[in-house]
Amino acid sequence: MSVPSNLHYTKDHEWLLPEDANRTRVGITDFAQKALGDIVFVELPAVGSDVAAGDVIAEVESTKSVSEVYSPVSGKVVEVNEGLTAAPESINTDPYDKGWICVIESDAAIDPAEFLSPTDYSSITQN
Amino acid sequence: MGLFIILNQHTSLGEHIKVIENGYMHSPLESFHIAHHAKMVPFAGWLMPLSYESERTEHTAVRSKAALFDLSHMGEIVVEGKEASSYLNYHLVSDIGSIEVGRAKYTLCCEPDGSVLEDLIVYRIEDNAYLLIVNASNTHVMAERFSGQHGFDVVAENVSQKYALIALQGPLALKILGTLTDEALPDMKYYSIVQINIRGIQCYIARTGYTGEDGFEILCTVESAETIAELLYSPYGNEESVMLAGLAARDSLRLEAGMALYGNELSREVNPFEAGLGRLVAFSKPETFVGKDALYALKDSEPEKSLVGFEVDSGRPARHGYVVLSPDSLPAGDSIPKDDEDPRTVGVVTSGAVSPTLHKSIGMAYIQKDFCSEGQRIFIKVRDKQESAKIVKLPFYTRKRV
Repeated sequence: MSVPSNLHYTKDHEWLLPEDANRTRVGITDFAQKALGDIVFVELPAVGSDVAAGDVIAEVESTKSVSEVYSPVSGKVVEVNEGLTAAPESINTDPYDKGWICVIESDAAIDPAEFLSPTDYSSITQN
Repeated sequence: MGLFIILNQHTSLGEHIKVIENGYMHSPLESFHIAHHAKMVPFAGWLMPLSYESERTEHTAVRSKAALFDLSHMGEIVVEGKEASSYLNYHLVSDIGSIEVGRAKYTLCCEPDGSVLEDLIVYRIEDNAYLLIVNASNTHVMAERFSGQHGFDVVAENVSQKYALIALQGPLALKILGTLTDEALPDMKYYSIVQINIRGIQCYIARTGYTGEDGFEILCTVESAETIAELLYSPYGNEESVMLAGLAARDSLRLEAGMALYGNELSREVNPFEAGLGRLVAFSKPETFVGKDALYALKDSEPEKSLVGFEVDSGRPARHGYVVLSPDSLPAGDSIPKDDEDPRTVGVVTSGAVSPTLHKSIGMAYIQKDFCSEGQRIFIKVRDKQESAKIVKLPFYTRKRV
């Protein structure tokens, strides 16, 4: 199972990648996609929508389950991965790159202390 | 992220049987499956492989190369005797006596009221002997149905515990199987059956399947099942490699091919005309048959509901049990009523999934007659949303015939 060292994580199996100008790219982890199985549909948030940390920002359906993705940060959705509409399986094949879900722009940079480090995330997935 | 629905894996496969923990029936290939990392699930009282790794990959392998399925859970009933043809003509809706030796027919077993008790394949293996392959969930129902002779000179035996059934499906199936039989595989038509040895092991090989692809079903004894499976299976790496495929891929393959699954599209709640299988009913055969009068009364009138195919615009899967609504919009500001309170209800989804071949959300549903024509718009209620969909022709997928 892959847990890239440049990302932050949540206990709900989202990953975060801080980018320039308080932008945060969000997706779900390799552990999560494996647990869900073959992903067949992703409902994306609307670009421009305001979200609070903990809000549902996406729905990920696999052949056997439906899961909600929670926003790890507060802000405005500024980009969504339209590629997931035609190829939702990108989350299975490439969860940290082609399988990203959206980019959220916040008022301030995220505080890494609020999230799990790669080491801490790895350890919770082993329990 | 949070998992809020775990869909019942068995529902989509048409089964509702609960079994106690140690009460499962076990396939003779169970250790083979476990050695190949199968995810084993209860299915109709059996513990069977749902998938090995990715259902999508298994599905695609059947469409492009070949894959092996364990169907040992399915039931086998042998009907033998001087009056075997007449006996089966009495119990089943088709003209069984007209099947040539070595050929097969898909047919139905109905109740006196015309409702569907079972769908099955009948193979005529000798002039006076037939092999019936029935659904796992209905093996006991069918064994019960064939338990009486009704005055016919016939013996029916449920041999399900003695035989394993293994399917090899996909465009490479013929080539692969041809390298394994002791004599050259004869030029087999679709829906034919031969008795032939595979490396000295006696088998019946039928050119039938449930995937919409070319392929074979191989009947052998439970004792030889693992040897046959090992012979057919070759791990990845060469052009002729065979993958292992589970019940999940079997379900999505048969859905693309528009084939009915008992428990989903077929049940005691529907008759053959509603299911689009009226062509199977042979009113002209000499014998009367169970359900004839009821079916005859239905044959010329348009059914109140019909089984149709649909596609969901958004691509979101619409699953078994979801409610179908008329295309009427709700008054502005109204929220979508609960399933059983929506006056727009016109039907129910029997099977639905995102098609791995077509990359569309497809499904089948029973819908009231006024909403069944091709191109008709409908809504399908998916949890708290209504998804736009349209009626399309079945099947969704037809293989190119060479």
